[in-house]
Amino acid sequence: MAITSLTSERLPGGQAWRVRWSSDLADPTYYVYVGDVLALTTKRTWADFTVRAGETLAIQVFDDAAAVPAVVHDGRVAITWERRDGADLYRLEQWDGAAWAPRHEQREVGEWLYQYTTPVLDDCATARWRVVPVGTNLADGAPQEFSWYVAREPDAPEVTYSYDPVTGLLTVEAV
Amino acid sequence: MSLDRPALSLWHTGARLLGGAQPDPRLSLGGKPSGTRVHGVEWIRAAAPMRGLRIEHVEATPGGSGPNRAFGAGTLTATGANTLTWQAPYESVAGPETTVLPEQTVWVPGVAPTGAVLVTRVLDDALSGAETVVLRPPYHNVIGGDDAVTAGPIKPGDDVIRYAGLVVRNEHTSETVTVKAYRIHYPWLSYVMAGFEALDAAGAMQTIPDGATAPVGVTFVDIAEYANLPPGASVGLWIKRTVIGLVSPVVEIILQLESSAVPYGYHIYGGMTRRGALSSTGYLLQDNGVTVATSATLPITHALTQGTHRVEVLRRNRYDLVSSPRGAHTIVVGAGGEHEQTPPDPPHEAQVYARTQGRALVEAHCVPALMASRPTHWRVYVRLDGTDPDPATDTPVTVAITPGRWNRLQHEIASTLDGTPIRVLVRTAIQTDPELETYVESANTDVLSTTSRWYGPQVRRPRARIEDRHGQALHYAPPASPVWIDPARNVRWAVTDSGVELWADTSLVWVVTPHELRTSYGIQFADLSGAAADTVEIGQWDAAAREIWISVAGQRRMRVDAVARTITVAALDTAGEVTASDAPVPCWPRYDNTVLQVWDGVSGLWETALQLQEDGVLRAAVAVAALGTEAACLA
Repeated sequence: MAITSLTSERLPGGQAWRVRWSSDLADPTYYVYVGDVLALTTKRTWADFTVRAGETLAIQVFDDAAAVPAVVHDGRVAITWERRDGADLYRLEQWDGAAWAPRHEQREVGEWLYQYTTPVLDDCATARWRVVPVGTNLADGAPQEFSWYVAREPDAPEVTYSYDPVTGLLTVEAV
Repeated sequence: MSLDRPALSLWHTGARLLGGAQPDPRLSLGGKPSGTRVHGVEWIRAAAPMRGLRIEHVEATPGGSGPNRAFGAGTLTATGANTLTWQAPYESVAGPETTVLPEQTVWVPGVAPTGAVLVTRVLDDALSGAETVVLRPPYHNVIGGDDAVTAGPIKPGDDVIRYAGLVVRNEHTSETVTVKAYRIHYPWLSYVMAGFEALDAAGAMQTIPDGATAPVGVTFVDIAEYANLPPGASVGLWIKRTVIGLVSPVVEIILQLESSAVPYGYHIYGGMTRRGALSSTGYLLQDNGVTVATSATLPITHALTQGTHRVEVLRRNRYDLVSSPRGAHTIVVGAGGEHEQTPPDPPHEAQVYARTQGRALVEAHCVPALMASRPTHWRVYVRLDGTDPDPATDTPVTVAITPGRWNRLQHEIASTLDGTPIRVLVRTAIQTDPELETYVESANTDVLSTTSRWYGPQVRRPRARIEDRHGQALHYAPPASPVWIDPARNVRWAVTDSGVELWADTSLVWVVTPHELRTSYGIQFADLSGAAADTVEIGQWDAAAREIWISVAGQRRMRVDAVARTITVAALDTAGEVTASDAPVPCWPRYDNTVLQVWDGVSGLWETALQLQEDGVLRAAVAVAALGTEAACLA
């Protein structure tokens, strides 16, 4: 059993991609992973995915339920924290190089653990984040900070291609 | 004997005080034992964890056929308000039920003797439900270490070696054990080696200045063994971490500890790091899917030979992760090295529509930003003679494509004769020389076609009722009459409710009704020709002849002579098909025929009675009645 083809085409409009696949099995069920998360179990041989600007989407398709997807380096970090008595909300902040910038607010709703998944972070750069509990008295509590050196699939470079018929040389330059 | 905790425990070193907190793996360089455990697994809790239950530590044990089976999904289950069980990954059953009271920190063991979860009841809430706990090797703990990034380029054997000091404690209360520490490197290639060092009288081990410096007097072996560790006692453990010379974003390292005690105990400590090389950072130039050049910086130059090259530059980081392809740029190089511009993709959804008054609209779309060869212009080829446009010989209309993601062509073809066959070829093109205005066009050859139309459909006379009972007399405006052909000579069409009459001054040529052509003129047959300036025009006009010519496609095909009282055409066809027209005029020229229309005063519609063909044949959709007198025609 094997996936025999996996192709993608960009649909008019820019953000949507149609991914098609096939298998050498007679009537396979397909297990479609976005990143390393199972997103779709289907008999269909295609699906459409939206890829926002600056994002890379890794699609893995298997015709075997037991197949294990490869590790995907998508540049996101999941932050979890326990609830704190007296907290009204938790503010997620990112260090932008000069100051802490608020990125997300999580209301205290009585859960035991909270989780926040960051957007895709810059490749080969240290990301600094912190969780700031904010009390019902609106006072900030002590932040919990951590940092993480991000390694992910890099962004494609923005380049131009030019060919000189006299020299026969192709030159690729940054935009 | 039974034990309420794992047989061995592993701790950081580098504490300021004996047993003081020191959780930083980078500072675990020997010295005093820390009171902070080494976490050999990362525990990832489910979206709905058990309320009020904190996991402090997970001790992993190998299950199944290898050490990697220590990792995976385990299950914590509340079997009562104060009781829990732990089913470790790849074990088929849970371990014994364990009581965990509020505010207590308790080991919950699995079936295997050393696999266990250390939990704390933080809240008084009763335990309930079950939760999945996924175990993974942690990144950058003391086993995995910091990323091993060197200048490179790396070749096999360029290993990065680092040392760390740890402390192993015998958790038995009465049993002296032999401890083994050994490397596991299946299926991973990076590994640790180990060596023991007895603690000194103060309970400390030697200190190394940094992770790159080997401890003195320690022999590192694949399987290190320390015998006779008394109950509750600790021994120093040095690990020598070797991250091999292979750039990789994921490096996994496993250390296993083993106690000789009963129950026999195995402990798995995993760690992850990354192996990088600064020299890997840069750009890859791919040509037809093969990397042909690498460079740390841009620009990149590369010689191209004759052929088609689908080139794309990808970015690579220090861990050998490479950006995904977004779409190659195509360059075709000719035999002499000249640039043969790749044709752009053809347009999307090209169509041609007939509009009123003989015009037509050509529409097409393209998205230059998504095309490998981005077009700069539209090229529209049009033919109006029923043949397909030929890009090799025809001159197209060129329309610039405005930059942007979505582009729409709207090109109007000017008014043509009714019924004109319109053939259109729409292409995208790349302008290769603005001065010479040369272009490379898309390769599509599909010809679009439509037929010119001047008039839309007519409406039959509407009716109306008052209160849905009483008919309403509507007063329709009759068509304009006369319709002059030559006012000076009094040659005209007279439009009446009965039909359309053709008058040559005082002589009635014919009357066309919706059912008949009535004429007292003689109909004769001959091939006629001669250029015509208008569809209906006057020819000779004197005592010898008074000619009215009706032409088709610029050629005279019907002659009326009001002196000889004859109508001449090539032939009369009363069985042929007449193509109806909605033209609201007595005579209407079309692309390859001219029609004679009749006004139907009953329906209020113009109908096609006669059609003069390009070959001079007069097709009649009505009966042809040759009558003796003009009065009879008007009767």
